[in-house]
Amino acid sequence: MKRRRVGFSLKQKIALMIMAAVLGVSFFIFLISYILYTKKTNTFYEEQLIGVSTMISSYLDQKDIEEWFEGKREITKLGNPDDPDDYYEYDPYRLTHDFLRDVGHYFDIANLSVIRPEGDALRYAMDVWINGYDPNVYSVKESEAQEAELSTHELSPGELETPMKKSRHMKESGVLIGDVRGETVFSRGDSWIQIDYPLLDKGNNKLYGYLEITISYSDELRYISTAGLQMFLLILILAVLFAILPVIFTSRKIVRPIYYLSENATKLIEAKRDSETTETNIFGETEFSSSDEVGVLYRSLTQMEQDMNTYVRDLMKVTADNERVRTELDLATQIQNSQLPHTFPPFPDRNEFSIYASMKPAKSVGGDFYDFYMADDDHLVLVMADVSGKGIPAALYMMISRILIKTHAQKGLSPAEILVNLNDQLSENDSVDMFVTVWLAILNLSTGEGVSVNAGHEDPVIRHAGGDYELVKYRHFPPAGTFAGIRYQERSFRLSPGDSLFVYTDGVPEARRGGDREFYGTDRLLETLNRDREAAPEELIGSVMSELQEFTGDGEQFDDITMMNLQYRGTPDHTPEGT
Amino acid sequence: MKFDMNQEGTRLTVNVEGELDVRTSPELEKELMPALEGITEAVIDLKEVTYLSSAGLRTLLSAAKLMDRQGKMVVKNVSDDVMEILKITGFDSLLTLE
Repeated sequence: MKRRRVGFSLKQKIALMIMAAVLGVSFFIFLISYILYTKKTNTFYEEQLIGVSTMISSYLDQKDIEEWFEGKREITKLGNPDDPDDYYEYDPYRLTHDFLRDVGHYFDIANLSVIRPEGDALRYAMDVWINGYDPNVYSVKESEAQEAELSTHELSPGELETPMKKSRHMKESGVLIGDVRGETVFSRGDSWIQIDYPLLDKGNNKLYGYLEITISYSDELRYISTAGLQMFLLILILAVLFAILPVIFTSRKIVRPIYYLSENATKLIEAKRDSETTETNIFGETEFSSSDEVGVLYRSLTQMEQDMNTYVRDLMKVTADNERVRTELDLATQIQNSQLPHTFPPFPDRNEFSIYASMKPAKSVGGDFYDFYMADDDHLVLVMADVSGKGIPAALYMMISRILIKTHAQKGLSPAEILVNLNDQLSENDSVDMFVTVWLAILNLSTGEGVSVNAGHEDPVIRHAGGDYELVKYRHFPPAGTFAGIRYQERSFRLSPGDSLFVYTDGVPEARRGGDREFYGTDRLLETLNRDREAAPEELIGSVMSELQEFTGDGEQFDDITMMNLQYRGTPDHTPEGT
Repeated sequence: MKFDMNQEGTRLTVNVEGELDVRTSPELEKELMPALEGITEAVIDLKEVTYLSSAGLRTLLSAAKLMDRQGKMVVKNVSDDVMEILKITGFDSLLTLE
């Protein structure tokens, strides 16, 4: 067997699905943690900034700062300048700057400054860069510095910068220098956070400046990203590893068994197709045990195989039975046909008449029959009959009828007597609703005188020498087998040399055309007979038969078609007038 | 072939339409025979029947045989074509025609 190519094997599909699921979940987890972490970091820094600002602001001296805004930097000389051991320069700016730098260091702050908005510009009292611009050191990035509107170098006291956005931003808080309240303003970038903490006059609580602190956590973020990426890669590797396990499991427990079962199913189909094999036990011999769905599939297949065996066995039996019935029906048809006289001419030494008859059954065994035989040396018995019904019952009824008629005829009974006896005998069994129409005649071959009886049969056709074929109409009695006690009566007729007698069953006039279902009818029959009126019996019947075939076309033949023709020649030594 | 049956007491009227042949007669027979149980007068109306084959005659005969035992059966409104068939087959003397 060739393994059929499918887009993705079950194995591949499961592996892909598991990997996609694990990747999806890990990415989701990564994203959530990143967001949560960032948020948490922000809050953490905000709190830290407020704490640091409060602490620093309490240390700052307002008088010093107002001087620094003016650009003044006072240095007080203490002691003896000539004695280094006794000399000290008191520089509050330097002290404050150092203090802020140390605090900044301690709290990982990037920039600390004391500012005052003046119009759209900012005036600086102090500007402290903790680590400068060395990107290798923990520091604020240049892009961040620009975004946070920080100066690019440390500004001196009293310097005026015009970072437009920042001063506008402070203005928007609605608090101006000199107002009796302050407002803490936070600004944020992707990786930095900045506080502008109001500095208030201790006496009258008037705002005189802001302490601005900027913290950059880009390094931290970079670290988080790197760690996240590493985690992501780790999960990816784990996902692949975890995907392999189910794939191995699927392969061992599902794909391989299914493949195995499908191979066996193919074997089974091939075995069943091979008409020699009827009983197979492919799944029965398969060793397979599993309690999961594949096991259920296996058991179903085993059951199916057994059912198929039973079915095929039954089917073969039914086929054999049908075959036997058909053979028997064929045999019945043969027996039935063999009952009818088939040898023509039947009496080669008889010159008084010529006769021909034929029966074409509709399906298998029919109910029509014709018969002719010598009752004695001088009397010819002619029978044309039609049993109502089809098949074996009709065939049996026909054989009984035929034998009864022949028995009575050979006893020398007259046609009416024969029919009375036949009818009473057939009517004995009331439960069989079958009957037989019979036209029966006994013809004296020497004189041409005949006696006939018509028990529900079609009108016979007679052609007198030189004339046309014509229907002979007279009273018909009911068919034999209908009701017991019917008194059949016979009538006499006379054939002269050259006369022709044509009898048939209803299969002839009631043959129907395929299209409009029109009946052939007796008018067409007479036309056909008269077209070739001089024809000998066999030819005459042959031409009616071919006419019928042409007429019915592809229409189904519903009834048996039976015809008999007797042409009387008379005897040279027994002229009709002679007796 | 179509037919309908109408029972009034022990009288059953059957109206038959169309062709009563080897294919359609069994349908009629299957319905008619059980319906005749307990009927003393059966009227078979063949007004709309256009063709009657020997299978149709057999159905009529079965009904006639049954009704012969338990009452009477009348066949009425026979068309000329059907009458011709009844005459040929001798059923005209077997059935009570009206």
